[in-house]
Amino acid sequence: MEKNFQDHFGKHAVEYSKSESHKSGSDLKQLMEELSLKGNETCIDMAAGTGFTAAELAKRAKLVYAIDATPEMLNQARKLAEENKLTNIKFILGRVENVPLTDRSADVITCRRAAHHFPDKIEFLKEARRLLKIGGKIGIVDMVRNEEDSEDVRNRFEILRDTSHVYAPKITEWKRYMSIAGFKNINVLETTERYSYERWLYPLKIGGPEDVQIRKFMSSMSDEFLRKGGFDPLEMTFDKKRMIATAQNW
Amino acid sequence: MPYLWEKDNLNMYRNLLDLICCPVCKGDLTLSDEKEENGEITSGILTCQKCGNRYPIEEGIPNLLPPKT
Repeated sequence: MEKNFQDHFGKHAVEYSKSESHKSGSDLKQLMEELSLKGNETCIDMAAGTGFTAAELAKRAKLVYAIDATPEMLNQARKLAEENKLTNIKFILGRVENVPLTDRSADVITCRRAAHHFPDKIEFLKEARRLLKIGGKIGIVDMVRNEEDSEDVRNRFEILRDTSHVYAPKITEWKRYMSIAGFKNINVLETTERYSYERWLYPLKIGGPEDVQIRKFMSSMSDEFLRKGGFDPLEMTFDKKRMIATAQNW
Repeated sequence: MPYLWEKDNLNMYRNLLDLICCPVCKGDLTLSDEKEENGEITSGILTCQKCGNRYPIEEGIPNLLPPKT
């Protein structure tokens, strides 16, 4: 798994850094609204990737630690900070399961469009709680699968597209994980966008080996199961469902 | 290079070492062999005072990935 995500993000760091959706998706704006930062916070952005979330935090908070395990992604994040003349972001190569920061060091923790790569969501949430001050807030944005996706079709699609994809839970599963990890005041917003197949596939391309595998998988599944997984086989579109979840460490 | 870890003039390296710790045992880190440019640390070695693991700072970014076992 580790090698998979290093491969995927090492190879595609530049494409991710140019992704309009990652840069200015409405989920980022909503996350900032939910966090309503006051300006004096210390934040940690876990699995910061190419740094779009860290940059938005840095405009609104005192200090941001941007943590990611892939050097190529962090280099793109640093370029973005330079371009925006943001000097209050500190970059650290590190893993979300073993964040190299001391207990109770943060007021706010974010993790956007990354948690589907984590093998153990509860372990990640517990690590986030260790890092948060009492009363501190976590904000997680990530893709979720439909509640009715009984055959877990969606995750099988996503793994074919991105071998570093591990598991995107349902919202009800996320709520359970957060409460098991000890978070309180759990609040979840849900958004759905419709993606063309080509857009969903990005940064991979039509005609590539993954595309071929995905089409083979599609033809092996019934339309009913494909629809439950959020894929419309007639229109060739995906419903991209995301949650914006916030909770507090009490 | 304002995005690097800056050396605080009054309290050397306070910014860098206050909050970061060893990813394995959460022990305190000490900095050695550091190189600076314009008051910012560009390279060096962070050593854990508890477990002895060593972590490099390269091009201004501390590499605090747990050592491969």
